[in-house]
Parts: sequence; C-alpha cells; structure tokens
Amino acid sequence: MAIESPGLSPELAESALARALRNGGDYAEVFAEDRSSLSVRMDDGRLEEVSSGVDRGASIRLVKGPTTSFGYVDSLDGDAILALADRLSAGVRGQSALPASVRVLTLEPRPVPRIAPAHVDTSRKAAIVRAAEEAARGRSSEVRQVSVSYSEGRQRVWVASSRGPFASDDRTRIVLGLNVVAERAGVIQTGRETLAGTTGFELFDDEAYRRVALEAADKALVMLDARPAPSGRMPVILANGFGGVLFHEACGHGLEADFIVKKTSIWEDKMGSRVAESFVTALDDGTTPGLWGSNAIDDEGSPTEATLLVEEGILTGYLTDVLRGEKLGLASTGNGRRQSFRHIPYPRMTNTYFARGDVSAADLIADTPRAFYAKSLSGGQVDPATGDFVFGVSEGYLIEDGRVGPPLKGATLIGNGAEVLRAIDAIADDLDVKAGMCGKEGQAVPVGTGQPTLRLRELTVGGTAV
Amino acid sequence: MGAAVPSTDLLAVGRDALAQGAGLPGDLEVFVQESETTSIKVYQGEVESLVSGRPKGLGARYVHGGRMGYAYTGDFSPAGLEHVVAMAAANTEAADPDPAVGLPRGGSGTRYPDVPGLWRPGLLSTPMEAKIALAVAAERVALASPRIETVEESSYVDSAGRTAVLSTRGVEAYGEQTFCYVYTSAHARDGDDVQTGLGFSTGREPMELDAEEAGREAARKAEALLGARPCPTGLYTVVLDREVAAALVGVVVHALSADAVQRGRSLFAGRLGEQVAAPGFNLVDDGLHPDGMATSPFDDEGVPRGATVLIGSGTLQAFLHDTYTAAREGGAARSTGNAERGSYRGSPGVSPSNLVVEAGEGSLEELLARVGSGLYVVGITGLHSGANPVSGELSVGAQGHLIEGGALAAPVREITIATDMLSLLRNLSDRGGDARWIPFSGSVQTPSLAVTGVTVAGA
Repeated sequence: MAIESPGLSPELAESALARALRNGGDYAEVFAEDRSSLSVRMDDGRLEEVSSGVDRGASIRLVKGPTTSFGYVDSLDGDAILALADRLSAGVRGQSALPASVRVLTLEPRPVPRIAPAHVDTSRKAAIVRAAEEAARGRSSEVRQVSVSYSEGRQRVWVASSRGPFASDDRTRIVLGLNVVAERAGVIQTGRETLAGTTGFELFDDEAYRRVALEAADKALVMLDARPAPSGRMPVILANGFGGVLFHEACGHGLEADFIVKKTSIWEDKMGSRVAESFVTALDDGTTPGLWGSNAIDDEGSPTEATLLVEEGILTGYLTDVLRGEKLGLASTGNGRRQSFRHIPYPRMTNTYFARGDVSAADLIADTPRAFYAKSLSGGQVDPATGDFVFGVSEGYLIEDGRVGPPLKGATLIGNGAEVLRAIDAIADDLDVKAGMCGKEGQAVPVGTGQPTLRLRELTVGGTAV
Repeated sequence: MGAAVPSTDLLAVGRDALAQGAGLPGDLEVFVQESETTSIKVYQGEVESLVSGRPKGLGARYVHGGRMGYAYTGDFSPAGLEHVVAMAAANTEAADPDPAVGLPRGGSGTRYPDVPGLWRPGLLSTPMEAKIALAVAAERVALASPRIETVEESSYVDSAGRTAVLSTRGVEAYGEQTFCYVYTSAHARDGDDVQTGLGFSTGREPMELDAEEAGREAARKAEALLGARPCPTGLYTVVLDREVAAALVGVVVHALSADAVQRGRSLFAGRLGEQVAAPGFNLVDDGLHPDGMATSPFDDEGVPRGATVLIGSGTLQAFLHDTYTAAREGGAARSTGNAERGSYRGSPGVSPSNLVVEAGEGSLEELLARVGSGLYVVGITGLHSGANPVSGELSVGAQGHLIEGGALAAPVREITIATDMLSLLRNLSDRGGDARWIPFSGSVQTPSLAVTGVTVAGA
C-alpha cells in the first residue's frame, strides 16, 4: 500500500552539490531520506491503536570557513531540492569552489531482512502484541497493568558530498517493549524489557516475545520485595547487557570528536595514556549485523567501522565524523549520525561495549565479600566536560559473602568517568549488548550498549537508607 | 531566508483532508502543523551552524465503532491526503473497541478564549544578523567572566508555528504562535577542576530576550561550582533552585494525569480530596496564563484550554483530562483541555500545559536564612532514569552548595539526593517569593522550594 519513492539519484545529487557550491564553499553534502513506520500499542487490556506514517525529505549542508549552513525540505522532489541548494548558496559570498563530481560507492552486500515487516499483515503483529501481553499478565495475579508497544521502521537514506562518494543504505528496525506494573498491599513497582534489532520480522522466531514478556513481569514482581537501597560509597557489580550504559555515559560521550575538538572533554589530550587496568578493552562497533546501533554507512555516507576506544587499558580512539575528524587530522570512523533529514549530523556512538574477560559471572559474584549489585539499569546522563555521570538502577541487590541477597529499590549510581574506568577490578565473560535510544543535541538515535558483568572497587550508591 | 516560500493555508489543507474521508462511516479528525524555525550556534564569535527549515505534517485520527486508527504524512498533495486518510481508516481494523473512544464535539457551542500576543510578527521580521548578535553577545559576556575558559555552546533558537485542528464533529480551530530563546553553556576552570553552567532567556520575539544576562547566568553558575566536592552522607533539608523544582514538579505531574490514574499507574489514584502535600502548597495547570510558553486557546484535539487547580492548600483537587479520559469517567468528568501530541506523528494524550506553583515570600537569600542549614541544589542529573512516577521513587545526581548559618557555603558535587514523591510534597516546608518561568521539558513557573528529610549520598 505504501507509495514507493525514487529516492535520490546520483545525477540529482551531483546537480544539487554543484548548485550549493556555486558561490563558494569548502564542503557540501546532500542527504535524502524515505522512512515508513508502523506501531501497535496495547494497554489496559485493549489493543488501543495502530499508527502508521511516512517521512520523506532532504537536507543540504554547506560549509564555508567556520560556518555550516543547513536547510531541509519535506519532499524528495528534484526541483525542491535544487531550490534549497540555491537558497543556501545565496547566503555565501565568494568565488565558485571545487566542482562536485559524484562517485557511486559500492558496498559489500549486507544481510537483508529475511521477512520484511511491510510484507507481514498487521493482524499478525497485533497477535504477537496480544500474546506478549497475555504472557506478562499470566505470570502472577500481582501483575496489575501491562502495556506493550511494537514499532517497525524502514529507513532508506541516500547521501553524497563534494568530497565523499554517493552512498545509500536501507535500514529495517523492529522493537517490542513491555511495561509491567505489579502491586502488593499498596506497594507499586514497574518492570520494563525490550526486544529489538536491526532486522526483519524473524526477530520473533522461537516466540522470543514470550521470554521478554516474562522478564518484564519478573522485574516488577521481584521488586515488590525490595527494601530501600543503602547510600554511600561501596563496591558495585554491574550485570551484563544494559550495564553497558556505564561505558556509554562515563566514557563514550567524552570520546565523541565534537567534544574533543572544542577541548570540552575529560579525554582530550589523553590519547595513548593509560586509563584503565590492562584487562580492560572497549570498542564502538557499527558493523555487527542485527545489533540495534548497526548500519552499513553512517549518515554522511562513510562505511561504519569497529573502532577500538580502549585497548588493554590504553586510550586508543575517538569517534569522528567527516568534519571533526578533519580538524583532528583523523579519518571519519563512520560515526556521523543524525535523527532524520531535519537534523545536522554529529559524532555519535553506534554499539559500544567492553570486551569479555575470562571468569564467569557466577565466579565473579562468589568472589565478592560485599557489594551493591546493579542487575538492571534504567538509563543515565553525563556531563562530558567534567565526566560526572549518573545512572538509575531499576533492579538492585545486596551481595554478601559471595551470595546475592534481597532486592533493593530506589538507587542511583553516581561517579566520574575517569575514576570509574580505573576502578574496574574484574570483568566476566558474559558479554551482552542491549538496545537503547541515545539523546544528544536534541536528536535521538538507536544505539547498542553492552558489557559483560563487571566489578568496580568503589562507587557512590544513592539510595534512601542512610 | 524563509520569506521566499509562502506559508501553507492549513485550514484549507485540513478541509481537503476531511473531504477525503467524506465517504467513510466514522468520524475523522486532522491535525495540521507547519512552522518556520531558525537555530543558530556561535563559537568563538563566529557562526558555527545556521539551521533553517519549515517542517510540516498532518496527522489523521479516524474513529469508527469505538475503534481508533492513526496515520501521518508530510505530503499535502491530493494523493498524500487521500493516502493518509485511507491508512488511518485501515488502521482501525486490528484495534479493540472501547465505548469511551471518540472525538470531541465542536461547532457553534464551542468558544475559544481570546489570548492576545501569542504571535509576534517581529520574530520573523528580525534580520538574521540581529539574531546571530544575540548568541554572540551571550557568549562574549560569559567569556568576559574571569574564570570562564570556554563557552561550549551559545545558541539562538526560534520558531513561528501554526496549528489547525478540524474534524467531522464540527471542530475547526486555528492558532499561531512565536517563541524564541538564547541558551549558553559555559565552562569554568581552576587548575584541573572544570565546572559547567547554563544560562537562558526566553520570549515570544527577539527583543524580549536578555542575551547578556543569559551569558552572565551561565558564567556565574559554572564559577560557583569550582572547588565542589561530595558532602557527607546524611539527611538534609534541601532548597531546590527554581530549575530543579520545575523539573521535579514536571515529573510529579505525570501521576496527576487521569490517564495514569485510570490505568493504575499513579500513586495519586483514589486520593482525590486527601491531603497529599504540605498545607501551603498550591499547584495549578493554567493553559491560558499570559506569560506561559504552553499557552494556547485550544489543546491538540481542539478543546478550549482553561485553568485547573490540581493541588489546593495541599489537598488533591483534580486530575488532568482529555476527551478520552473524561469519557471513561462517564458523566463525572470533562476534558480539562489537556490533550497534547509530541507532533503530528502521534495521537493525543493527557499532558500538562503551564504549571504554576504558588510563590511564597522573600528572596532566595531570605529563604536560605529561614532554612538555616542544609543543602542548596542548583542542578540535578539523571531525572529520566532516576524518577519513577508510578512507584514514586526518586533518586538523582545533584550539584549545589551547603547552607550554613543561613547562607551559601562550600560547593558540592558528585552526590545523589533521594526521597519519594509523596514525601517530597508532604515535606515542603517553605517557598521563596522568587518565581520564574522555566521552559525546559514543559512550562513551569515556580519559586525556590525548601524540603526537609531528603537523603543525600556523598562522601
């Protein structure tokens, strides 16, 4: 039923770049996007809404000296794109610059979704949402409320610049999320879990939705027994998976090249120095098929890469886009990303995680006399200039004498990026990467955050118990 | 740059879209939006980026037999409108029916309040150079402060937005408004110690902005935190800066939506008429306040906005409603005009408009003197992950200053403050007379607030 659009042709891209640069400029780029989305929402026992839509448009970026001019049109019409190029070039004074010549980039074939979501009937999507809801509700009579949301999106992008090749990408993402409310004797707790991938409808093979539904319900149920978390400094174990928010917030943002260029990152001028113990390695990897933050190319047309950020405890890499990389004398690492055609690209993470160690998580816990165990995190925030970060714990426990004790609620972890990297004293072998949305400059992009279970010598736990 | 393209006649687009649904048996509503936006960032006295655009879109909500379907598009061509209406109708098929689902009735009985001054032609007629100069001025003033090393960002942003809501139930509403702000983020340094501070100024047109004060505010806040360290763990009386108070009020109000109450996601469920806050606490949702940035004659489903007392003298008096949540109460509730959408891409849900916390007495200094000792919190981090409006738990990172002898003492960072939302409201012990509008994540006017019994985790 969707109206197919032709996207952006190399010929149109070349004309738009030439016209954008007509009055001079150091760099021009044209980006076009055609995105179709569909979501199904169930709440309060009812399938309440199916929503679908199309976003189509193009933007042009024109750089001259220190200034970037950026404009967009809500259309893929050739005349509208050329008029935009003229409007931007009119703001530039000078002699005509480099002629744009567009070379088409041919990429290795990427795995295409085995089952394109657009070819699956809405009723089947609704059936999965209903089955997930029933599974969560059926877990316990203490489950009071369940909401389920399914979203699929296909985003096709085309991008060309006066320097880079013409490249395109075709990205399909699906996410199923559940929020469960459980109640006992007036105490209310919530549990959230998601299943997500850069993949087709095969995401739901083997009734994977059922496992996620039960996990969300169990998170809410277990927290009904939770006592107030302690407050103060103590050893902390972060469970695998979404615990990777630690690296994302504590270090990842500060390695994004825009902060490095402006010298507003704690990691600026630290390249090559020791930042962690020698068993700590971390990377940003936009290439692994299926992960939530993976793409074939970034939103500037650079192929994505796996970039070592910390190798055996030494800081080895920054995350760059074309223009910030140039200022640092570095090539783009394929991290120039944007939310949509209406947004200017920034250096952003893709999938960021600590590499695995060689002990099991069970042994790591058994070897710990006392610690706060953060099993599940709800997100976080960092100030890249100071490295001070905070993240919320949605499921926590006390570990005593190597055993996981009762659940603890209402805790936030707070620390400093540089200090926390040095505080890692053990890493297990159970690497897992979870899906999340990362916000920066008012733009949200899909990212993977991951890690194996790891232990910090000391961190501040902010609970309500003194 | 925007003047070359004439603005779209949104009512005409809306009528064309409604006409596409003329043969359908159900009710159709369209929400049409277009805005002109400019966003300027300056760095070291030069324009770093200048973004301009005219985003537009239309959302169609179709209701038939208690089933709802939604679709959106940015394509206003006849083919685009035909497609979006057909998609909205098709999207009802998988939905479960609910007798409360329906569109509000419009027509001759609907009176929209007259709210003057929301649209200022001066915003679009101000030359680009003058807008750039505001961001440059904020940066220059911040950099002139002795210990400011860098201004990471100094921005000017504006938007001239137009909205139309039309339906086959007789709603036909059109509104337009302008908005602009200057925002500055400054970094202070003393040796290895770096601290950041934000300053801002908002208005409906550039002449209302005080860019230099935004720069001074950013510098003042960053410099004040130099030398900050964790304070001892313990129970404190905290004084919440107005930005912090606004952010916390914004989270608490999630639980005051009838939608959260009806779905069992509110800690205020079943508490109407109860004392939920300190006796002096008054909280009003005022959709028509002349100074509020969320002010509008109608909400996002075309229902007239108004004012709703949520908490009066500490007593829970009302929840916020849209048409759906009011219908779920049978005849017991009416929409309070609080339907809101993130954009044309989404169907409406319940959301506050302008929240007003009644001010107390005296300046911040007088409030600190009355409190005597405790912690003054100027910034919090991790609110979206650290506050749970369902369970009421609240634990966030914080920065600020100790309060000793009724005045500000040593700066503090790398601590958390934790409580739960009901305790927060009940333990509000004092309010300043220093109310300010805070435009971040909503529109809230609040004074500085003092709260007893907050757990602080630090050294």
